[in-house]
Amino acid sequence: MSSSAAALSGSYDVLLVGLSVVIAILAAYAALDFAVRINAASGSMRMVRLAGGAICMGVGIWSMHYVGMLAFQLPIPVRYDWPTVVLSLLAAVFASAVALFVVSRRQMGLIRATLGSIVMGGGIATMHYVGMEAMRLAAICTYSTPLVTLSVILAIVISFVALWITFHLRTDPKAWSRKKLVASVVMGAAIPVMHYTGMAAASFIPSTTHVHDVSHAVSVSALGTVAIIVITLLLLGLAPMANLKIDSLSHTRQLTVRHFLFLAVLGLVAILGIVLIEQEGRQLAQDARVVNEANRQIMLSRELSKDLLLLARSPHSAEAQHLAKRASDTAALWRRSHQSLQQNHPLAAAPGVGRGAIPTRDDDDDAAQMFSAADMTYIEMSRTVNRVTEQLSATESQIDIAPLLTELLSDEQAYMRSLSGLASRYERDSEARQTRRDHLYVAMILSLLGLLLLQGLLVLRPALAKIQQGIGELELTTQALHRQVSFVELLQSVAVAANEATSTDTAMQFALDRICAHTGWPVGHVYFCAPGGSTDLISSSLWHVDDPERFAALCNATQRTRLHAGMGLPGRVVKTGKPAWIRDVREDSSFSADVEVATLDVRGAFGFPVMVQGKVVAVLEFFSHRVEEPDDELLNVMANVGAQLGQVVERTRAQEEIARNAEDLARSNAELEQFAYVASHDLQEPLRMVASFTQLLARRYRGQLDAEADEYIGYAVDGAQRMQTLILDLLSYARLSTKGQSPQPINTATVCDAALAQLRQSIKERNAVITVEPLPTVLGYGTQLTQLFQNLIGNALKYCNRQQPEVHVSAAATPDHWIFSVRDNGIGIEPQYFERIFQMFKRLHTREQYSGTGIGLALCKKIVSRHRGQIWVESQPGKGSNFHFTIPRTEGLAT
Amino acid sequence: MMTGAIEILLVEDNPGDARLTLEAFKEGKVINNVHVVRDGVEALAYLRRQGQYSNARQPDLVLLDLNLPRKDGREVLAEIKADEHLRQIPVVVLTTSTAEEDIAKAYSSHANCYISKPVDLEQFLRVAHSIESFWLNFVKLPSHGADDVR
Repeated sequence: MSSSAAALSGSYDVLLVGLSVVIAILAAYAALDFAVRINAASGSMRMVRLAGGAICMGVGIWSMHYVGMLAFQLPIPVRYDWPTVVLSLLAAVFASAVALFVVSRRQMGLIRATLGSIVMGGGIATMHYVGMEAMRLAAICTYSTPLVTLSVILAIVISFVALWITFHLRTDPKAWSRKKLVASVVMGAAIPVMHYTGMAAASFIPSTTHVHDVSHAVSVSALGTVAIIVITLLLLGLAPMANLKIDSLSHTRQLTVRHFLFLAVLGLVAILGIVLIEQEGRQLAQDARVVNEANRQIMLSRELSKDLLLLARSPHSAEAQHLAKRASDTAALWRRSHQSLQQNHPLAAAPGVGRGAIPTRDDDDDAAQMFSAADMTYIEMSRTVNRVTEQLSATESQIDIAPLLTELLSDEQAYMRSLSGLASRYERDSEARQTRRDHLYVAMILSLLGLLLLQGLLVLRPALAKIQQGIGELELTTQALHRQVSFVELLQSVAVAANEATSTDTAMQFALDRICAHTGWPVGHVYFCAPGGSTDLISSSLWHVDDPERFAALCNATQRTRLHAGMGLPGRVVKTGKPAWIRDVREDSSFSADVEVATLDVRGAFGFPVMVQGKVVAVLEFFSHRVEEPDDELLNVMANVGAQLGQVVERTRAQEEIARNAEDLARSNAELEQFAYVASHDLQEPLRMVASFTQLLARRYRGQLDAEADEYIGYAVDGAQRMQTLILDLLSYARLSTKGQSPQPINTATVCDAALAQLRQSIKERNAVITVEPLPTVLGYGTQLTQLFQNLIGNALKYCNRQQPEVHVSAAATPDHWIFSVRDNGIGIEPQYFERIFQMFKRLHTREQYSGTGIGLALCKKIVSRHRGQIWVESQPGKGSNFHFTIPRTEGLAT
Repeated sequence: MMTGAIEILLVEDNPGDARLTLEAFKEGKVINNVHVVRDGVEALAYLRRQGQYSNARQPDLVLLDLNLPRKDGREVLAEIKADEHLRQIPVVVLTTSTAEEDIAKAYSSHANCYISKPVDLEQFLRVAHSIESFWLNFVKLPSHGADDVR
């Protein structure tokens, strides 16, 4: 070993460098995969994925580093301190965990990204330099400060870019987009950039005095390298697959099986490769030992033969003696060395037995022959040495020893030749073996990569395609679902508004606002059909405009326009009675020709009709500032909205009509009552004159004129009296509704008594029997109820031709009402008149039979209906009548 | 001191009603002089002995219809009861109106009695007789001023 101060120049194994880059890309890809999925997971799943992602990415980065280190070949052996190596792995895992935590947050500001990338970049750099520190070699490692700084900065910048890309990728619903692959390639390529910059910063100055703690040092064999690579590849290949499996088990069950088959093959190939390579390595070591021993023998004999050669030229007995002594000493060494050679030689392990038993190749035969040749020469030489030793012990003749020595020299030379032949043969062998091992190595790596690639093609791609397809479908379904939900919400809100709307305008305005909110279109407007059955459209003042200034031109142009059927979008809607869509009004010929469309700043438009009984009564139109593709589904929903609004229009129309009718009715009622009141009052005056003076005439002059005059006066008095009764009845009927008091609790027993008191005279005259059952208290008007009882009982007395009228008053309770009954034993009523008798002025009898105005029962009906009750009659002619009326029961009143 | 005949002022625009009242009092038992005026202005002029009524005797009883031309009965009642010389004269409101409002207002204007004209002649006659017997027979009225007596 040279101890000069010049730095050792390292070289890179291109294959391993390439592999390190591949590993870095795989690590980045796994990390991205996890980042996307962490975001989608929650709870413990999130932690599991965070940990898994951190381990994957950390091991990936770490593995990339060590493969990169192994690719760096120094002319001196390098070993590694394994606790430090483990420490560097932990640093990598920690850095990855921080990075994944940052990108899985809901938000990532510039500050957070910067902090995260400093931690992550620092972690990677720490991992790298701790890893460098793990190196154990006979050299001092020094660093160039600018390059170290550069490598750290690179690590941080790369981390920042990686975080940024990952954060923005993770929201991408397509977990396997091309963008992600590109991102992982960028990130993966960037990690080695940092590593090799860091490596460039280091220079190794050989030093034998430099003391390392080598107690934990291990040398990385081919086996170790392969193990690192295989474990990394397995981990990085397995992890995303495990993710997939978790995400959508049903999609990938078959593919997962295939995936694990591939992994198994991968492992087998790796193990086979390791075994083969290790076999070669063992052979190599054995060969090296053989060569070493041979070389040692050669060196030993070379020294001896030098002296022997000198002696052969000028033999002196003393020197010969001395040489012979040395030769016999050397022979002892030779023997040991040769034994070692025999043991190391693979075919010489069991001389005689093994050679014949094991079938050997020509190559090995060749080697065996060479060895046995060397063996022969050794035996030859040993004999000569023995002879020399014997001669020495005799010591009498000095002359005899010289030829022996010469013989020994020639034997020794022959042995040396055969040995060097053997050594060179093994060295040649060793080289071939080395090459073969390298080839095996390459073949194994290539087949591993090939398997990975094949797996990518056969497992991952279909899996991805399937998942992508699934995600795509899910996305479409979700979108469709969202759309439907928003449609339903729209319809529902319009329906509710339509239900609650007090006027057509409020409902329309609500629909405009709601539809604009739903579609995001800025302008909505209502056209009403011109009144009088015309199909012309008149612009209304109902607008929804998001940006009044921008659309002022549109609004103005619209307000001025009166559209005929077929004209413009609303006109088309009126003509067809169906919703219509215009992609771009600038390209639509039917759009109002008189308006300069290009200046209006609108493109897409749609309109739909509001229908009432199959006729369009209004059109809602909407405008967008973009070109809009037709949306039939939306138009269907809009047609529905139109129907809802139509119901509002219909309902408000009906309500208006009802209100108008009610108002008319109330007015005419009031007028009628006023008229009846005034008429009865004003009729009273002249009538009173007629009645009073005819009565006076009758009083003063009865019997003084002739009988005819008396009869005439009688008619006049009777007519006047009847008219008076009629007017009084009319007056009481008219007055009934003029009183604006509120109902009071009325004891109907009291009311009935009052009515009986009024009727006392006729009860007495008719000798009637009146029976009254206990009667309840109701909410009502005392005077009216008295009148009611009076009329009904009065009728019972009046329409009776028996000697003794009997009237029975009672009340019965139903859950809601009291049913009052006034039963008599009078003349009864034919069933066909049951309705008629309650009508004004309808009478069943002549005045001669029964007097009356035909107002009494009409008044009863009116009183009962003012008490929210009903009145009806049950009767059998000749047997009597039973008049019933109901009055609602009120809680809390005494019965 | 009574002079024998009772003085009654009948304020009634309807000649039929006036005549009917006259007839009713004609059938009465008390000798009475019924003076008829046709409207409120005349009624007040009579009571205050103005113009043609300067020689009129102050009536013992006023029968007042409410609905009168020129000045209606409600005003006449109010003025009578506001006039310290006239307020002691009993005023019987005799009208066709049966409106609660009219009745309430009449009494609050210190009408002595409110009677709605019965439609039936017999009843009307009874009312007239009861007015006569109540106000002119039973009720002790303050004597008129000394001037009148003399």
